[in-house]
Amino acid sequence: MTHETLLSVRELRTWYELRKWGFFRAGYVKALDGVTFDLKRGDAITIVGESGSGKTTLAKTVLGLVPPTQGEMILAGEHLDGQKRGKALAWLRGNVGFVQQDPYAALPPFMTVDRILREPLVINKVSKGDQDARIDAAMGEVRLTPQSDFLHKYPHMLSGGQQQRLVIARAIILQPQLVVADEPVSMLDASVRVEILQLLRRVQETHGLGVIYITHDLSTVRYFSEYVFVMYAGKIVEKAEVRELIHNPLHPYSQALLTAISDPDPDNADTVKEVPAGEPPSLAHPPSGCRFHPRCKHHMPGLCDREEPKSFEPTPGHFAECWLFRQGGTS
Amino acid sequence: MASPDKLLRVENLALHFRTRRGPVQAVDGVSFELKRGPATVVVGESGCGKSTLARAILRLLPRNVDAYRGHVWLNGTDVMTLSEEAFRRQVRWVRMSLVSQAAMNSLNPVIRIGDQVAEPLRVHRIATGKKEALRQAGEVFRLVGVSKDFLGRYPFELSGGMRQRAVLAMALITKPDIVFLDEPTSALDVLTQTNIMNVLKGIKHDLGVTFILITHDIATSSELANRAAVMYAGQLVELSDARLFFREPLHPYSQKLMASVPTLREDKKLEFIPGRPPSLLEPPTGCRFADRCTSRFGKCEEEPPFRDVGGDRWVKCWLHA
Repeated sequence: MTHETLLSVRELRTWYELRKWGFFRAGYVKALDGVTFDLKRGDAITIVGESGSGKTTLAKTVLGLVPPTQGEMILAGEHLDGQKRGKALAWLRGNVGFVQQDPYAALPPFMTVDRILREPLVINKVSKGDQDARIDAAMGEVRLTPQSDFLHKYPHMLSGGQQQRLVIARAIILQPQLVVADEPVSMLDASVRVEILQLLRRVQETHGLGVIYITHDLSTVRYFSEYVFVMYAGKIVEKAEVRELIHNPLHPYSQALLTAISDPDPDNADTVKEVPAGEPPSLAHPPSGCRFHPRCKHHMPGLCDREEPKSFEPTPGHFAECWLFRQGGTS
Repeated sequence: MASPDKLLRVENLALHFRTRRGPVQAVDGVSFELKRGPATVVVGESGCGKSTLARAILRLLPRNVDAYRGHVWLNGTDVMTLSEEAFRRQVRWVRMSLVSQAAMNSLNPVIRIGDQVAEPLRVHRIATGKKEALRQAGEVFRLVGVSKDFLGRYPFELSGGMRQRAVLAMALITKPDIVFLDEPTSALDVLTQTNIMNVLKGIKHDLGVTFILITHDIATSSELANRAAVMYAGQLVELSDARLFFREPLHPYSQKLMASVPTLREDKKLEFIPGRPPSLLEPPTGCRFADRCTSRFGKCEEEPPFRDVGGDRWVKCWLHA
């Protein structure tokens, strides 16, 4: 597999404007505020964060569903910003697949499986003969087999797992280069979850896809991807390999997040876990300096509450936006 | 009369719903006993009847009930024989209360939090006067980790975690023996979830309330569990001490379910369960898991008994009969 960069994101910002009164602007919700990363072809990265951390906004921006306010996004050499957005978007839609969170809401209830899978092919002018072959292949890949049993069914006639497999089939039917999966298993039962994650992983490996997997659940990450990015309040606060992050989390927020996640262990019932109190900040008025400082136990007055931390690299390949690592040198 | 340490005893409880396609056996033949103190978690996948079980015990029934039978002994009294009015006065929210799913979104937006939390005291005439009720509400607020200043606020002024704590306070204010928690943290963020679990652990320890936690999230359930129960297709298939259960579940379904739970700290080969649970319209007459079970044999055509296999472990499987 060639290891070229598939997606490159630089200082990406997506701000939602608050209500306006005439000329008076109430401000912005800075849902995504300066995010930089690279995704190589054939790699899977996971973005973890709590609700309101901006992870879904990141997905929407990469998918072209919301325009970025600032910053650069390059997919397979194509710039996706500023001018000629319309044309770039049409190209983007054919090259990025989307796996939604709630499969039932993502599938039109009045369309059969056949229609749902054919629609993107018709829109992208795939020839009639090719259409059937592609539908057949995509369904085979997500194991909706025998295909003839499913083609005439409506989404409500499928189980949750089958619906999610159909959503995956739809996401890959245009043979995209990148798939964005936004919480693909959070609506599913535990026993089906694993099946879907393994399926996504297999699809990713066979096609050499780049995958961005967005989740709030760190425990599924190690079964899915090589890299993890931790998001907090619109920023990526830590980037590392999965194993490295799990065994050696650097940012105080990542540490708290890892403490908070339980493994099924009966000893949990007797221990009180130490996690920071409070909730993530408002993104309309984020705290000055490091956004985690009001909840951080390592908070250094005069530094953390004044200046925004840069990205430090204390160990090679492991980045943290935290002043605790300032001796490590900037990257 | 049951022995005094048996707080709750449920025998052959069944709750069936009437639908256009026939009766749905949402809960069918559930029996178990609970002691005062230890928290029990009920785990199972969606549609297994775990929420319905809580509602059946609390007699919170929808209109389309087809059959509702069995016995629920609370401190030795069969509360199923009480009239609806007597049940409301003596049992529901007095002896047993509920934090229902997404309860934090069920607060009345136009009534102050304090008044809502204090309402059970006034309805059941436990507190005399509004002032006293609010004072007690303030006390429970302290227990669940909310400042007393929040009593006068409206729900929209509180974050999700705070509202969830307020709802928990509402369930605790009448000092009930049993509190059912139906997915109390599933709509919350990971850190908030852990904070609330810490609060629950503290209350369990300090007040001696008996919690029954209903959840689909096995990893989180271990945060509170002293005993663990597994439901499948409307029936209880396993009930045992949590330590034994998390190390070595006995029922084949529990084993598969545990094998499908991803773990953060150790590598394990994840499995999934092929197939799907049976329809509860016409469930199989034998073991309901037999179709998906890898260890099935001839006997599984008949319904296995839910029996004590020793050491406070109950299993509904012919392998352990």
